[in-house]
Amino acid sequence: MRYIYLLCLGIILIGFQTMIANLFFSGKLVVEISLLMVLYAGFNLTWVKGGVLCFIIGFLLDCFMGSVSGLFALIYLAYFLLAKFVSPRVYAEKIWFIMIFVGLCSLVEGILVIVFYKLAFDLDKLHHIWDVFLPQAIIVGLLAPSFFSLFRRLKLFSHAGTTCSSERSAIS
Amino acid sequence: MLLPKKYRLSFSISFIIIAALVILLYNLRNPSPGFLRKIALEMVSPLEATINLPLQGVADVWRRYIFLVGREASNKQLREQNARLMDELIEYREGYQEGIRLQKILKLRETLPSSTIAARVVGRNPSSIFKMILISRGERDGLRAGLPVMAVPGLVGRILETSWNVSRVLLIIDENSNVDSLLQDSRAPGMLQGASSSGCNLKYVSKTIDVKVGEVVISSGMGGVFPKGLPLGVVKSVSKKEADLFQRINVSPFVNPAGLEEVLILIPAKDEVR
Repeated sequence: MRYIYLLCLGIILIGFQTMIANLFFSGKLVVEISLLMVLYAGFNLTWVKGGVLCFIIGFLLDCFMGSVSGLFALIYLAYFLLAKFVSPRVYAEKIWFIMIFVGLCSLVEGILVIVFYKLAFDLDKLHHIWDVFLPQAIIVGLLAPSFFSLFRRLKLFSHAGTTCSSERSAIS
Repeated sequence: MLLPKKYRLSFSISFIIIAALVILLYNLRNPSPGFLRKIALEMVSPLEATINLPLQGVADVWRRYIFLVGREASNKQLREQNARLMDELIEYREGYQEGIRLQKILKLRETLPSSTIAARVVGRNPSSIFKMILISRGERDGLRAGLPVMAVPGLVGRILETSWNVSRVLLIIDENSNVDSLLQDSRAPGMLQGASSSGCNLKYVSKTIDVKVGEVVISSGMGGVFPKGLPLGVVKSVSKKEADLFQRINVSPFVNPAGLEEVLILIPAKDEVR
């Protein structure tokens, strides 16, 4: 049941981030709260549950944003796997780590999107790195600790699947 | 499950990745939205509307009351534009009104027996004692003292003095103005004298004559200043007192001098210069 709530939360966050983008940045920048959720899921959910969740959120984001279906689904899945891979090896509670990690992920995501559109449609969107993706990455990175804290307080993740604390302790 | 337990996780993850890849590649080759996307799109729009509904209020508050960057400049610009458009509108309205007035003057011109010269009212006498106006024509246009000045629909006054390019007109409501006149219905003669703010008084009308309120007063043509038949005004009130030799008749002039902007000056045939 908690997993359904998580899905609903993801959908609400996608809608919310679209509205925030229109409201504060006139649609020029998107504060990708859904990416924060995906990365947080990578630190807290199991492989399958987290993978499916990220896939669905990514697919819905494709529909919301009008991008090619499967693009964000694949990117979010990759990010979930990355976070999942990283989570047992680092202490993910540090604010600086969260900010830098999320910021980098957001920036790389932007670059991946640009590369994809260049390869698939020969669209040159390279200039967007500076005026869109970099500020977007900074904003998301700055907001990440607050949202991670919010997710922690909601306790939806910890009950929806096995947490990674056991895996982290096993590695360390 | 057919797969051994240790491969299940790898298989599940691989399946999801492959599914994402297949969807991506499929949609690259077929740009039209697939079945899943159609379903998602159908779900998305009401969902988005539901999510946005409560947030819209917050957004409105933000846009209208908090996030006002650039609004002041925009307001200033709009105010300037508004003022400019207002000026233009006034100008156009003014042109329209002028057109109507000139049309009326032209019609009047056609009905008058002698030729006329049109002039603009360029000044009003600020004094409350004298009721005069300045017009934009003078001696160079052939004007001279004594010529009658008309407007729609009646007599305005006569030229008192002229300069090269302007002339002063004594209005019929000035207390020094006297016009030999005639009551149109009863044909009783009288002298229309200016009474300043209360219009004019028709003097020397015998008490034996029955004068009705609303009767039109016209110029009699006597005295040689004003041609016969120029409309002057209407009888506003009539009173007969025992002690008086004549009736007291108050006349409201046809032309309101306060609203005068264009006038016609009647030129007798012998004076015609153009």
